[in-house]
Amino acid sequence: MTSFNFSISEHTEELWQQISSHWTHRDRPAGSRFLGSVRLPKKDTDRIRNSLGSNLRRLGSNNLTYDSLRERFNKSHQDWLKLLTFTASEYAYYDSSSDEKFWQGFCRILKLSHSQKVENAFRHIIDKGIDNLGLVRAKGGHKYVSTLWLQSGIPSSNLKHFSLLVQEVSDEYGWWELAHTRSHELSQELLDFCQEKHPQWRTLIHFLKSSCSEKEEDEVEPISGQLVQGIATVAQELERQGISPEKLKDENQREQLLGNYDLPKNFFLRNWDSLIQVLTPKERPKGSSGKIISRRQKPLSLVLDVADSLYIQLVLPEQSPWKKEWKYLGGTYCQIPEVSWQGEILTSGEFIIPEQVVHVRSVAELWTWQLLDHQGKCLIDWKLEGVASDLPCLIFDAWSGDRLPLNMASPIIRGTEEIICFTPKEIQLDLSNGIEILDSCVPSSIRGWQGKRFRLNASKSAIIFPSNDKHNPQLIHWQISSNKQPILTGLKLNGNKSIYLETPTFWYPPTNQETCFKISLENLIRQQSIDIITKKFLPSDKWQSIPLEQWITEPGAYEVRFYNQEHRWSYIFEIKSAYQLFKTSVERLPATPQHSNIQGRVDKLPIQYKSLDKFWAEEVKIEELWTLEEVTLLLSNRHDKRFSIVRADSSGHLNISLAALYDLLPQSDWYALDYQRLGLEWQRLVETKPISWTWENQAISISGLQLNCQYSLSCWNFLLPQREPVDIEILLAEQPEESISVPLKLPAGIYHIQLLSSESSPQNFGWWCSSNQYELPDETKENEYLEIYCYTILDNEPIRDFWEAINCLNYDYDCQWIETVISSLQTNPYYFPKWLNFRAILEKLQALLEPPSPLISQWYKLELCFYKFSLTKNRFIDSFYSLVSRRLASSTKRTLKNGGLKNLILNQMYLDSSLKNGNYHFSFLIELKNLNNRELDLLKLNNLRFVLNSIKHKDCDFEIKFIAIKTEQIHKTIQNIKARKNKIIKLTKKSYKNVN
Amino acid sequence: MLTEKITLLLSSHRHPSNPAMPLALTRYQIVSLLRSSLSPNEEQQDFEAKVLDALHELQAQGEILAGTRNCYCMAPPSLVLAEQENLTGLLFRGDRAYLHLAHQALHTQQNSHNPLQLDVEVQHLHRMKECLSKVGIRLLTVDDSVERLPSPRKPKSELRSPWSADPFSINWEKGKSVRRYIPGDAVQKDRWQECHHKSLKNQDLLKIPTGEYLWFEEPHFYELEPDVAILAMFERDKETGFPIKIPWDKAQGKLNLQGIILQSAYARWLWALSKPDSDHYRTRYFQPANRHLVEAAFNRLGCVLV
Repeated sequence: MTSFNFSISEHTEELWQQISSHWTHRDRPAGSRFLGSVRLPKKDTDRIRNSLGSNLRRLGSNNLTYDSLRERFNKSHQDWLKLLTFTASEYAYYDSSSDEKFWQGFCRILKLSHSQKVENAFRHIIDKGIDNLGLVRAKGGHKYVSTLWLQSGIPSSNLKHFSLLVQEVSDEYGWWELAHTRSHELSQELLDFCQEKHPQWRTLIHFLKSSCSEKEEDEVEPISGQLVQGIATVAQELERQGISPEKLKDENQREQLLGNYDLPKNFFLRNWDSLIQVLTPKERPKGSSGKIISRRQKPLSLVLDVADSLYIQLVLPEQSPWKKEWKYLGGTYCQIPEVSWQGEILTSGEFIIPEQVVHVRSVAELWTWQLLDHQGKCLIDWKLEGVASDLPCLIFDAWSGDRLPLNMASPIIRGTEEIICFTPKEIQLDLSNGIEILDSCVPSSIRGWQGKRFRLNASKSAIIFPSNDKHNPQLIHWQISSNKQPILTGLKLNGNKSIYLETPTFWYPPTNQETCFKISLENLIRQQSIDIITKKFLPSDKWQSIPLEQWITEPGAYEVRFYNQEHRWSYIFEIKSAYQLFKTSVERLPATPQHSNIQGRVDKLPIQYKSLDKFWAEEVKIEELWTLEEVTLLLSNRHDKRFSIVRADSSGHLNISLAALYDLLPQSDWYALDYQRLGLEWQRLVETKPISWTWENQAISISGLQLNCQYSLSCWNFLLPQREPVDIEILLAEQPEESISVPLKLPAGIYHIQLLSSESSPQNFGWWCSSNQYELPDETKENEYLEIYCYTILDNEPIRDFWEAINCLNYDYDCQWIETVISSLQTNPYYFPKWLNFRAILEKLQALLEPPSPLISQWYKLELCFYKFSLTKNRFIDSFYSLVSRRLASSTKRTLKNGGLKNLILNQMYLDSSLKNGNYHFSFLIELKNLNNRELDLLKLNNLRFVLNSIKHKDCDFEIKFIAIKTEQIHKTIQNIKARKNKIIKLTKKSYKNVN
Repeated sequence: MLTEKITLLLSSHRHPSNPAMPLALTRYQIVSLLRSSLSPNEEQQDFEAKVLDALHELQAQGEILAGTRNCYCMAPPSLVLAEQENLTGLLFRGDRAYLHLAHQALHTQQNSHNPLQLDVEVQHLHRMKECLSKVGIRLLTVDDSVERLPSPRKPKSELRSPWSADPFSINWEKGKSVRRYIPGDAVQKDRWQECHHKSLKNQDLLKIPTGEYLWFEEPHFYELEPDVAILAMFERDKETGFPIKIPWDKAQGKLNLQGIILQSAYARWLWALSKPDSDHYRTRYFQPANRHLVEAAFNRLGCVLV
């Protein structure tokens, strides 16, 4: 090979053909070929290099320029360019190192003396060669060196260290995180990671550095990041499919395998040998330290909050920027004055600027935000182009809310069919055909501006912006991209995130050629690849679909990628199931509305005014209604009433201005306004001159009633809760009276009384009772359960008895009604006789809303024996029994209370009594809350004895026994007793009277 | 079914600060979101009209509410009790996000044939109402009184903040213009006639091409809720003596409401008292017992049943 003469074009042609026949990527499309895929042994490439060297040396280093070489090596054939580029690529792979500058080293191995002129000549030649060969190109940075490195992936001298680094990084973050981190960020992380852990690997660090930009604005090909991203993708797929990494050793199998995966565009690795070990699956923690943090500065942007407020906002995304020179600022204060944010600079990575959002109230030509250090020096600035004075207009994508920037020279809108366009209010836009106005006044957060929502129904059109020159108005062109892109369809939520309510379907546009695509699906939450499949689309004039349901069946976050050699589309979306509220998932269920009037919050309804003027001037605001809820209003006066319907706004607020209702009804001296929400009760809001009343023993005295209005009292008896309330009609005199006394001729009972009127909603007067304690309603004669129920109330018995009685009654009570009468008892004056305990009634009513919880209890048999007891008349046995049982109850209670054990007695039952040989035996069953031994002793001992002493018959001695009984044993006995209970109570009552 | 998609869509948009409340969407958002779920091969020409029909139907069913700025949202969650005596056949209406809570509150299981039907075991009405109200769900019974239905009237209290743009100053796209309601012999939808700024009179009822109703009360324009605007339309009919004629086959009990827009309380009320006629869109069938109610309601609106 050394004998090749580059001046003879047949020689270079032959040589290049020899190389080319070993080039795997030769037939790939231009721009995607890697020169590292030439499979030639090193000794052959060395020979080519030597041959090239000797040809160049013949020319002499001083004469080495692109033109002189072209002159010498043949103008028409470009093979010498390719040979030189190939040699440089091979040098980059085998020989370049950190100890020597790239071009100096290249000259050295070609045995040429290095000069800037030679270096420039090589750059020029290689630039041509890259184009000529159709190689992938690196962007920015050291563009030739990077491109040459890119050809083989990792320089051969770095392979071992690189594999070790990949091993360590994947142990640290896991393959998933590496495969899903942007390659720029990954390159930076690799460099930092390597510098920290292996500062001695200078050659590798040199290589890694070339993948990272020194400055923010520099664009550099992130080769190392792309490589690791690709390797991570391969690793995941091998693991998922259970393929042995050994397969990668064989170049043919490798090409075939890698062709299936969605790898970064510039991913090529010449030698996999040292990576096989790294890729072999093993037990390892899954990404132990979480996410790779990007230290790059993220830009300021202008967005429209389409999901909620429709405000125009400046948004600075959360970021953790870091620069080396900040290390001296550690622990000092910093600020962004534009958003009044203040923070402290910490060591890298820990320094986070949270997302900043500002509503835009006025426009600017340039928005600038700065991060300032403690001395006011600028550390970072974010600049965003604002609104040009000659085209005062802001355009947003109506769906994503992204701003669509306009190029002043030829403004054009692309890629969306719906926009919201904001301009100063006075500007009148004209529209060409094909643009539809969807909303003609979208409010704007910018003062003096207003928006319009437009839809483009044609393939292109224009918005005409007025200008001073009438014949030459400014046109903003609007077009939909002509080549159709694939789309995802499915029911989704409004806003800039892709959140679907069903699994979407992929649609491929009409095509006239057969196309093959790979589809990769990933579950982003589980961090799992779901599948990779191949799908062929045949020529068709219709869109062709791929329902994703076959792979995605549950809610979650997914990424689906469609790719082949030419195209690549990626879709990240979320799927949510139909929204359901759970008791625990909701902070606030629809609450009772909050009322306020012009003076402020209203705590108690109705609002009452003595003067009509104040009534009509009232404005009531009701909050916490349903979104757009309908509310029925009822305005009434003495003569008439009017219904009307009003509607809350989209925040659930409703303003009612009474002035607006002024002429609905004829003149009167009394008005009231009530409102009702659908399905709920009427509520009085405002009224004039309230009605007042006072209770008397057998009557009620009412003042403030209106003439020409029908009133009645509705009296609900708590002793007969299931009965309809008794109505007492109120007869008004012809002439107005100061007050009227209405007799309350009601059967025995405890009543809640309401005033009903033909004009307004019921008014609660409160509670009234004037019967005596043992007066029972007649209905109890036929209903034993009702009688028991009444006694639990009349006797002020414990809640538990009352609750049992209610259950026996099978009373379907309306909780809203119970709440009404409770609140009426608490707020209105009541009229009760002495024996009736206000608190006992209140507690019983409350028990209906919150039933008492079952208690753990223990039954005891209590045996009393009075020795040498003489009673002459049998009927006194009953009365004596009654006396004993009542005293026993109250004394037990007192005993327990003194011992801090209130309300422990739950039940007591008479079991038996007998008189034998002058000894009188009583047995009781007593059910007590679970007692401990101390409490039991307390009961058994002197307190009880003392009480019994007080009822002791003159000449008799007695004994008391307390025996705990198992529930099972006593169950039957209790049943028997319960059956007799009614009788016992009657008996008790009679006897009690007798004793007293 | 379009109506099911709409209820799913509206029930899935929640208030950002209080997810117990649904968020209102505009008609255009609804149309676009629904459209993005269609196959690109499907004809989409009259799709918007179909969506609008579906929205009207849902309003009449009491499923959704409509407000100003072309906004729609789910109605408050409620269970509708057809007959007081029969507690077993309860139908869920409104915000679907509460359906699960309704089942929880009443200890019922989802009905596989009709997910909106709740098969409660016989319970006490009041207790049921109480259990439901604790989770923000209302229990509704069918109310057949005409009295509550609002009467036709001109807007007044609704005229609060003026519409921010003069609709005549906007360059509407070709073929579209501001329309004014002018009663006459025409059917209801043809009573909206093109209107020019010059002929504008005080208290004119207008409709702009984007769908909003405006009221002109010198010197301002005010947006009216659809319901308020519809009552104003009927008021205008009454005032000028051109009642709307509605086909009513009393003997058969069939009411043909095609092309008629009703205030939503009327629509809900009529829908609750009738059954759909399977052959004709927007034709309702009324049982003999309810037929006099139809006449009473339309009498209140000032319509003529023919």
